[in-house]
Amino acid sequence: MEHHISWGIPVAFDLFLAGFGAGALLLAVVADLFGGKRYQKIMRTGAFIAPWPVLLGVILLVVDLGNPLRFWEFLLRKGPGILMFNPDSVMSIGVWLLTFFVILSLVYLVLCLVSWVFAWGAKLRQLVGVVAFCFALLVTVYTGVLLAATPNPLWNSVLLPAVFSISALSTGIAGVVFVLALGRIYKRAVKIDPFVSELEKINSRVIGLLLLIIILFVLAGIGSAQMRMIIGLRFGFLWWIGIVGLGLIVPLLFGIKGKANKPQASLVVSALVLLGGFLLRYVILMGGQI
Amino acid sequence: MIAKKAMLIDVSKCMACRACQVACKQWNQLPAEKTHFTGSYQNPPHLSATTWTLINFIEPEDGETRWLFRKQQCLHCAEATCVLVCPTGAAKRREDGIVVIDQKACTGCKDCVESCPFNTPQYDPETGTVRKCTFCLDRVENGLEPACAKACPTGAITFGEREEILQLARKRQSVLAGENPADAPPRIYGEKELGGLGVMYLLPEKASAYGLLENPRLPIRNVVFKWIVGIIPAAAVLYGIRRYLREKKTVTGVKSDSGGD
Repeated sequence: MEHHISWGIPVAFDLFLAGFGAGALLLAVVADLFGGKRYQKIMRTGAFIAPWPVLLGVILLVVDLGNPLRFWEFLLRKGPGILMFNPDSVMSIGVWLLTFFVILSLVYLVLCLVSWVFAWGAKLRQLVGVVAFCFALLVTVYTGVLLAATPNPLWNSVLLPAVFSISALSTGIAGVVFVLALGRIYKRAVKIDPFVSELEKINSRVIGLLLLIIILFVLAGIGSAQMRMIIGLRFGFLWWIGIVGLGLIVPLLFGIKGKANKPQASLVVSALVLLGGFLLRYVILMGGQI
Repeated sequence: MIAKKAMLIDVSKCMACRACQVACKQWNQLPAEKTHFTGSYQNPPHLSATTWTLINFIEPEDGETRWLFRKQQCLHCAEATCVLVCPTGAAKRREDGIVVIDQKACTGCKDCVESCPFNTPQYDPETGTVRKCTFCLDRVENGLEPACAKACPTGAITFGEREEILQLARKRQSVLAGENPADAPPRIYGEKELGGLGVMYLLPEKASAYGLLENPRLPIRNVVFKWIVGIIPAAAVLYGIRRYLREKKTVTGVKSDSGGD
């Protein structure tokens, strides 16, 4: 075998976690700017989730480095200039996107709490939200571009960044649903809030689009042996049952009408979306290296 | 300006003695590897963090029993993908054209391992860094040729300033073309590829027969397009969510101050 596994499970987790957190923030800011009072809870939940998965992903990435203690080489340079930035390097761009995202999403979370408790700071919160939104959008795309910028025949696809960015949105929405459903279960409520059903309906559409892009991605790449391997014997079980079946088709059908109201069901289905999102990254990452 | 350095590998002169492989290990103090039989004389089976050059034994499947030999190593591209993708600037191309990975600055992120179109840089779990051929930088800086070129007993490996090496390649090209007038003249691989390679091959047969890309290209060349194709559907979805939330918020008649508390 010519190729060893360079990027293993920690990287698969990072690809997933970065998209998940950024997706949650994107939903939060949209709810903040356009949802009015009715969707404030979505904003707060999304803002509450957003920084942590990304921070965890970054920590995993640093720990996974050959020399974790040299992580500062990504940020600072010796000699001319102080900050390290290589605009040709997708990873260098990504490092800065992730850094700014974590900082901005933390500030956004603090401002959400401040404006909730003290009833001021809403304008500032929205301003920070817009900036964080831009970084979040790029973070969701970045994980795909990082892989798509390699000569690897499975990854070098113009569609891969779209696969990851749409998947990031669906996992972000699912994360918000998961936390809200968990809250209802904790309160022993029988029904979920109506806007959670609405989120599931929205996510059903997002997942429909994701399914379409994934089909295009597979068809466009079917010439490569690695693509045939991930949908074939080697990863077929994870791909068809885990990703397509449980991660895409089930939540797509579950949310299609937006009428389901059992918090337990919402909890399970949103967990399936998250699981499917992780498996999608895992299979594509590993499939490209075997 | 400092003249670019280059190496010519004339595969027609290579007899696969692997003196270059051994000399590389000796000079660079790279340990031997535990290896295994893979059905080929190529040994070790592939480049590694401690095997920076390797004679590839290729058996073309064209009915005739024969070998093609190619010395595999870092090609020191002018447009080096490893330098472009390196997020810390550890991978650098020097003014003399030699591409090096600074072992003190490499974090071991392995982006270059995944990105090199020639699959050259290799991760070393011992050092936590990515390592590859340095063109024997320490020798070249002292006016010596790389260890592999010094060791080659047939003159298949020559090293020098790029212009001279290119002239030598053209000379050998016409000699070989004269010997086999029926065949197409051998290709000088690396004269133009990726901005001009620091290692040029003289190849009597097709590049792909030697396991080289016929037309190597920068893997990052369409990267802006890929960003855009990733952003557009995500932005469209978010716009859809915005419309949905706006409609719903008025349908249900909840008074709103457009987001403020």
